[in-house]
This record gives sequence, structure tokens and C-alpha cells, in this order.
Amino acid sequence: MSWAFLRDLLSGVNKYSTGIGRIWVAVVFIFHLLVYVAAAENIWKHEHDEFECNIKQPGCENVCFDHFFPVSHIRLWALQLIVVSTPSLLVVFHVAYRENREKHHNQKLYKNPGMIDGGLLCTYLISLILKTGLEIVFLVMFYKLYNGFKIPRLVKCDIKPCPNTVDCFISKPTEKMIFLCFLVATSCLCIVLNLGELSYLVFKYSIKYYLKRHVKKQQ
Amino acid sequence: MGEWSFLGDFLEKVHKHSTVVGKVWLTVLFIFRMLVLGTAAESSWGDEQSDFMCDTQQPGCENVCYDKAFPISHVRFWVLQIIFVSTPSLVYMGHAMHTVRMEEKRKMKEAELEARENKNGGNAYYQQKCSVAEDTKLSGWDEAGGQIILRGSLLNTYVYSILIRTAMEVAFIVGQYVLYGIFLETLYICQRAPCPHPVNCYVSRPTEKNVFIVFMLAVAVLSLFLSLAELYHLGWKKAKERCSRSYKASPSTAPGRLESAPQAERAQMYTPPPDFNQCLSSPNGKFISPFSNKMASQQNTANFATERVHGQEDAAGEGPFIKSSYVESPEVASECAAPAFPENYFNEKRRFSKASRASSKARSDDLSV
Repeated sequence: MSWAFLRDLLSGVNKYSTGIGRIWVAVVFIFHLLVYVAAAENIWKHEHDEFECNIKQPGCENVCFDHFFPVSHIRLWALQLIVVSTPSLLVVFHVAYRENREKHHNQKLYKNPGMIDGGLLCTYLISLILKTGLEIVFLVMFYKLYNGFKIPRLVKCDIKPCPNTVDCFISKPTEKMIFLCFLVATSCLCIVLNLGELSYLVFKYSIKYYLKRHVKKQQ
Repeated sequence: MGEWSFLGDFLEKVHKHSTVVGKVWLTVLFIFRMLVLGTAAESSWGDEQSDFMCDTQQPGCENVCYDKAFPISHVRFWVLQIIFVSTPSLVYMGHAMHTVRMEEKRKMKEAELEARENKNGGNAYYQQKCSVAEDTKLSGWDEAGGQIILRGSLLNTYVYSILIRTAMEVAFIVGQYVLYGIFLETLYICQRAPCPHPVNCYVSRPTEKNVFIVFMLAVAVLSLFLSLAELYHLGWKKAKERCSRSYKASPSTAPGRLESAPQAERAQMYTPPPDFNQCLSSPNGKFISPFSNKMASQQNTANFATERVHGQEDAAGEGPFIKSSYVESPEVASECAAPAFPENYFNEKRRFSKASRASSKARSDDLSV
């Protein structure tokens, strides 16, 4: 699974980011993406094979596994990575649109197409709000799907064709829980960074706007 | 192995702007940790659970016993170790890049101001020239070498990053010892529900794993040693500077200390600014060395030259940028042998700032501290 595309996308976005935005990209690369690729993928690799139920009834293991893991943690993790990085594309598209416009009209319409001002600022703020919202959505999804962030060692299953309540054992629950907590902590850090960047930009540009208005009034 | 390029790209930038010991540490990290982990260790631990055999037919017993024996696999533990140990260097890198960007912005603004002043008239021209020269010297960016110069808050960040890195290394080494001890045993006796009784479980490839465990432990200890060496190198310099600063405050005490400093070390010595009054204290304006020893007096003139530069900086309000002076100024001695007329300071200053930056001991690769 090649994540190079996502890496190139986020590196491209880095050009138009603030300082906090760059920190966010570094956190996503290292604590989210690298940990996923280097460690987490291997933990969940054989989760189905290693899921064992105390029963010989064919099919019972399958239905129990499907009941307890409708979407595997690792797939949700990968989806989260992709979905949370996507709003940054909005900024890239907007800058490309600006550059296209300049080319089309054959004159310099913007001081610098990549500088965050005016419409691009709105796009950037929207992308920040979307990123934060999506992170929160995924955290809530993790919590609701698995009843908290704990992974039990033993689950009891009584779905047909299991003839009675059957003990099923999840593999590597401690390790999975450690990395799940790591993921939750990283998501919270990303949310904090996004909110920090949002407030910083809103504050900075409101001050700029009010100062301009004040100067104009004085004139 | 490709996955480590995410971190590798960031660390390459750190590599460019590190001290010699820092570069060695990064090389150790890349080769002995990341490469070994990505290529050899991963495949050795590949079948760790599938080949973990317990002497029981009880379903679920193997799962729970494996979970009890290995709460976190060695390989994943080392991945986390590498990430946490590298993170402080990335924080330092962020600070350095931020400092460089601020300096570049400031230089651009001053260049604009100078251009405007030139248009309006040459009144402030001389002042601008001096402040630009001073700022070039003050900036954290060496244009010729393309290196960041460690001073002030940037040096503090660097030292803190090494301290945190050392703490992380120690924490992970201790953590590994607490979790697994040093060696893996072949046999693990497990007693946990649903196993009906204590059960013999056999770890897969214990000898091969032990080899890698010992190797990674040795590399961690080596990294720790390198971090401590770097701390010592930076701390010793700072302590020496503080000592010589307190020595400057009371020149009657221990005049021989400077004499004993070897030639090589003087070139890399960090000269603290003595009290500005000392330079101006002579009534006839001539510099009278209180020391008979030529080496000491040369070092002293170097100190005064540096101090003069700092005096100008403080006057220009640039003080906050330099909190501690780790400026190398070994070559100033010959030029500053007879300075000390206050009215000549502006004239002399630019010569001193050029000279004070040069050091025959400086290597193009190294971060100058």
C-alpha cells in the first residue's frame, strides 16, 4: 500500500500553510501515518485468523468476528488518514484556480497567488473547520462502534449458527489497545492544532481588518 | 523500509544543521536502527504469533498466553522508540527554520528601508550600513555556509531537545528491561483463563530474536552515550564561558587560567562580553593589558572586540536576539591589538564583525556553536 501520494499531497499543501499548519503536517506524517505503516498494519494483519472461538461449529467464528468487528480498527484508521487530509486539497485547488485566472487574463491579478488573503483565507479556514470536524467524527465513530477505546480479551457470542453462548478470544488485545490509545491521542493533538490555527488566523485577520478600518476612518 | 522515508526526509534537514556529534547520532539512528528494523528485525518477528505454540488444545489459550507474554511486540516497541527519540530533533528543526524565516523577513524589510532611505537622501546611510552589517553578523543564517548558527534561544532549544532525547532513550531502555528483561526465554509458562492449568508455551526463534534484542539495546546505549557526549560538549563550553565571564568581573583572580587554555581550544572558545566599562576605563584611551602573558592579552582583546560588537547591538536594540554570546573570535586579536577610542568604534566595528566571524577551526559542515 503506497502512501506516497498522500505524502506528496500534504507536502504540496505545506507551501501555503502557516507555521501551525506545518506542525500539523509533521504530526500527521510521523505520529499518524508512519505509526500506521510501520507498526499498526502488522498488528491487525492476521486478526481474523487469530480470532478463536471455543467451538467446533463451522461458521460460528466467522459470524462472531463479523459481529464484533463490523469495520476493523485498522481500516477505520486508514480511512481517517485519507479523509482528514482531503480538505487540504481545497486550498491547492483554489491556488491553482487563481494561477489559472492570472494566466487567462494575462495580467497580475494577485500580489501572490499563494499568499493567504481574501478568498484563499476563507478557503483555508473552511478546510481547517472540515479537518477538525472530520477528526471529531472519526473519534466518535471509534467510540460508538467499539463501546469505548478498550479492546477486551474475551467476548461472548451467541449468534446463529453458534449453538450456545460461546467464548471468543481476540488476538493481541493489549498491543491493539496501546496503539488505539496512541491514535486517539494523536487525533486529539491534531484537533488542538487545528483549533489553535483557526483561532490564530481569525484573531490575526480581524485585528488587521479593524486596523485598516480605523485608519480609513481617520483619513 | 520505504515507510521510514516519511521520517527520514525530516531528519535529513536536521542532519544538515547539527553539530558533529549530532550528525553521528543521526547516522547511527538511520543505519543501525531504522535500516536494521525495517529489513532484518521485521522478518524475524514476522511469525511471532503464528509460531507461538502452547502445549494445550484449549481454544483461546494460545491467544491469551501470547497476549500475556508480549503485551507489546519488540518490533513495535522499537518503532515507538525511534519515533519518540527523533521527535525532539524535529522540534529543534522547526524552531531553527522559524528563526531563519524571521531573519530573512527582517533582512528583506531592512533592505527595503535602506532602498527607501537611499532614495530620500544619504543622511541615515551610514547608520543603515552599520546596522545591516551588524544584522548580517547577528542573523542566525550564515549565507556563505548555508548553516544555522547556534546562539541564544536557538541554542537553548537545541540543548533542551538533546535533554529530552536523552530522557526518552533512558525511559525506553528501562521500559524494555522492565517488560522483557534482557533475554527472551524459549519456554514461557502461562497461567491465565481459559487455560485450565499452567501451560508450557514456546516462543518462536528465540535465539535470533535475542541477537536482535542485544543489538538494538547496544545501539540504544550508544545513542544515549552520544547524546550525553553532545550535552557535555555544549555544557562544558557554556560553563567555561560562565567561568571566564566571572573571571572578567574579577580580573585579580586566577590569571593563569587563560594561559593554560591550549591553542586549539582558544579558536573554539566562546568569549563572553565583559563589562563594557572595562574597555573605556583607561584615562588616555589606550588599551593597557593587565596581563603580562601574550596569549592572555590576545584572548582579552578578542573578548573586548566581541564585547564591543555586543555593546553596539545593545545600543541598536538588538539585545534580545543574543542572550548568550557563543561567538568565535580567535582571529580578532591581531586586528584589535590597539583599539579603544570610543569615537573609533563605528569605524572599527565592521572590521571586527567580519573578523570575529572567521575561524580557522570552522568546518563547512559543522554547526558553529
